[in-house]
Amino acid sequence: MPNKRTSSLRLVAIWLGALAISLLGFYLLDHGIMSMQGLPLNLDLTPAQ
Amino acid sequence: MNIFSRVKLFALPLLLLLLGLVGVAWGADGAAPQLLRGDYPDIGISSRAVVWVLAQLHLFFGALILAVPLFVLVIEFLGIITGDQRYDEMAREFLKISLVGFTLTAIFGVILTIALFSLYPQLMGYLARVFDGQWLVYLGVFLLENIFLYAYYYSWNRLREGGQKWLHLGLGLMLNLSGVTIMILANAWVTFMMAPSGITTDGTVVGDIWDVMHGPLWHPMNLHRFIANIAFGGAVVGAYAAFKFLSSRDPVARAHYDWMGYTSNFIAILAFLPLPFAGYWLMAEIYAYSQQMGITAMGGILAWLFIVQAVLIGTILLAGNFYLWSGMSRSEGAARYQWLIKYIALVLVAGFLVWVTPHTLILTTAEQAALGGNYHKILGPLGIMPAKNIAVNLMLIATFLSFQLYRRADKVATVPWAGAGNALMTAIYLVAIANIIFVGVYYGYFTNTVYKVGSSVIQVASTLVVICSGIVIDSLMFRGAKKLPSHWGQVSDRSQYALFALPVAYTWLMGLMGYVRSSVKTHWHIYGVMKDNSPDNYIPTIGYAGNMITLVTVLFLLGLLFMFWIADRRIKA
Amino acid sequence: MTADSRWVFAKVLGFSLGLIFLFTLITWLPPQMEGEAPQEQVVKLETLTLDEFVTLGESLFNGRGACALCHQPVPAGRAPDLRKLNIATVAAERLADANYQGEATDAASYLRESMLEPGRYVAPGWGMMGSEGAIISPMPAVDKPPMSLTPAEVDAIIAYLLAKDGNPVTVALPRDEMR
Repeated sequence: MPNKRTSSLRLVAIWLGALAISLLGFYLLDHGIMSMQGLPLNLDLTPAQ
Repeated sequence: MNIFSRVKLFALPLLLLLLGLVGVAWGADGAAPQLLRGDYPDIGISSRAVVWVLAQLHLFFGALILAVPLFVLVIEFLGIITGDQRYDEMAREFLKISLVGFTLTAIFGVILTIALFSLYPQLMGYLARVFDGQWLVYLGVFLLENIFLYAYYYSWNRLREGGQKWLHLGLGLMLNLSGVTIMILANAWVTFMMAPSGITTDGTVVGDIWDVMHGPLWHPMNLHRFIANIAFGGAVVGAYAAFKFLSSRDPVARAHYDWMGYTSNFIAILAFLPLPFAGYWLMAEIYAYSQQMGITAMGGILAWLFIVQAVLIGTILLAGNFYLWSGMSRSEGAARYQWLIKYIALVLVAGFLVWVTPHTLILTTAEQAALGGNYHKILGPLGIMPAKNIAVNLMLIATFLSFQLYRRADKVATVPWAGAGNALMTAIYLVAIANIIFVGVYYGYFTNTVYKVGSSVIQVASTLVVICSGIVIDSLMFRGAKKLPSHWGQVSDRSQYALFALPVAYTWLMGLMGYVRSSVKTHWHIYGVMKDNSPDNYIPTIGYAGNMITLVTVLFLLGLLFMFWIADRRIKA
Repeated sequence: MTADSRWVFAKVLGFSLGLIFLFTLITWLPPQMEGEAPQEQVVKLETLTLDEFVTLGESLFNGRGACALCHQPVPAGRAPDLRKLNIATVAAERLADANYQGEATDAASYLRESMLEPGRYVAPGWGMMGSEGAIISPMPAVDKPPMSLTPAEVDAIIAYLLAKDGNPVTVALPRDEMR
């Protein structure tokens, strides 16, 4: 029987998951768009040139 | 057909043909003419001012009649697939109120052509020669457009049933295609003057007509004008709807015009969102073509103009958003989202203030000494592109949020994954905003120019991700949603004024952009090839431009009132 | 129109005109600058002194040559701030750079090469991304439109750039007719 503690844990997990997916998505977007323009980035998003 | 239409169909094309022949006869062989001051006809008043007024009016009405058939077609199509008759009626009404606009466009176009050939005969002769027989094509497409317009409008009731309705849509499509063709033909002439192609440095044509047309600025101009027309058209018909709303007492009429106004605002703001990006592409191509031209526009004498532009865009965004927030009163479910509005407003105002901050300050020597330079230490950095890019992207995201909240106001999601969907949507907003700010600050201020310019593409992409994911998530999440009561017509009178602010601001902004477009050529008719030696060969002050733009905006307003008045008489008849 | 709609019309018109007036007002506030077209100037070669040649170069730098548009102080500058830098010192640095592949041998010839063939060498940190992914120079060739500077005008600008820091001017005064 789901109690308050597990359902709020579930809520936190959903939000953290959403945040993680978004962060990853935009990180890949940054890399993709810059390298498409011939401006490569290091893993920490600093310019590689 | 009435007298307007008869005149337009036959006399005007013949006049254009005549002028075209005159122009071709005047043009010399080979190179572009190099003119002296005495070669220009003198009519006692500024030739430039005359052409300015005529060209701008032609463009205002032209933009309107290109835009309206586009969303009329889409709305008629919506009517077919939803089966809701009201869409069909609204489409027809939008077209009806803009019919006279076609005549006005044509009339101003002809007077403009006469003015151009009389006041700048050598330039027009040269252009007529460079563009070869293209003005004949233009004429032909113009005639076609007229034929499709009359067929589309007058056959509306006759071609209602089944397969015939699709034929009717086909006529509307042809009307749109011919209109867009006319625009891109004319765009080639204008962009040729700014960034000529297919010719040598002395103006001799070396390529074919395609080389001449396909300059570096042609497609950016085509895209920018295409999208801008749609936004502008939506704004203009919204003013009509707002006026009819305010002057009706009948609740059924008010409901109808409220819905019409909402649809117009929807078109005006939705089409507006991608515009800064199309403009950015145009500006980037200008810089790529000529650094001087780019800097004249943004870093030199015309730089303050973009501050004025910020005021206009701020007006547009604030008006559009205000209308959406006011519209939340139509639905009882909107109360859930009220608390977000002040934050959206905050972002809009802050973004506007950043955008309006200039970079270079014009100071006296004493002020310069006190400040320690030409730039303010804290506000100065807000005056350059990275800050402005952050501001505009955040303002667009904030506007899209207003949209999204409005669309959600009368629904409650019933899918089991609504919680996760909202979490994802929120996360996307937050991370996109953080990304835009991070990328703008880091690449904008701490790396070199190349990365700075490239990072703006990330910002655009981030905004587009928010918009696209918002549309996708909402359309999936609200499948089978529970609908809350919402009432068309249940909106304040005050909100309708936003629908007047929009077309006024758009019109004035279009005029301002015309001033930039013409002025970046500085003292050239055709940049780098044919010098302008007329008495008007200088860039006028921004105050003078402001007066001219106001003049054409007021004249356009009068033309619109005439257009709506005729439409009203048609509806009553 | 009914009395109702006439009143609405008046309010709407007033609002619209008021907004238009507001926009107009805003254009009167910023500095009112006119973009002057360059004036044609005929130069008498027989009596041309070095000082006049240098002054001519300066007016070209700020005017028709359009140099000052980009060669500005940071952060606005898109190109090295030539007015502030000591040209002879900087030219020597550039020529000594291992990446330098051009044919210039001194400051004057380096300047001439930079103006007529800017793609030969891109000063470090000032390049931009070209279409093939390599770093290229954003500097246009000054003898092409829209500047279309004559060789004598190019020399005048070189003379100005050398003279302003007190360096020796190593370009000759022009022999042919120039405008």
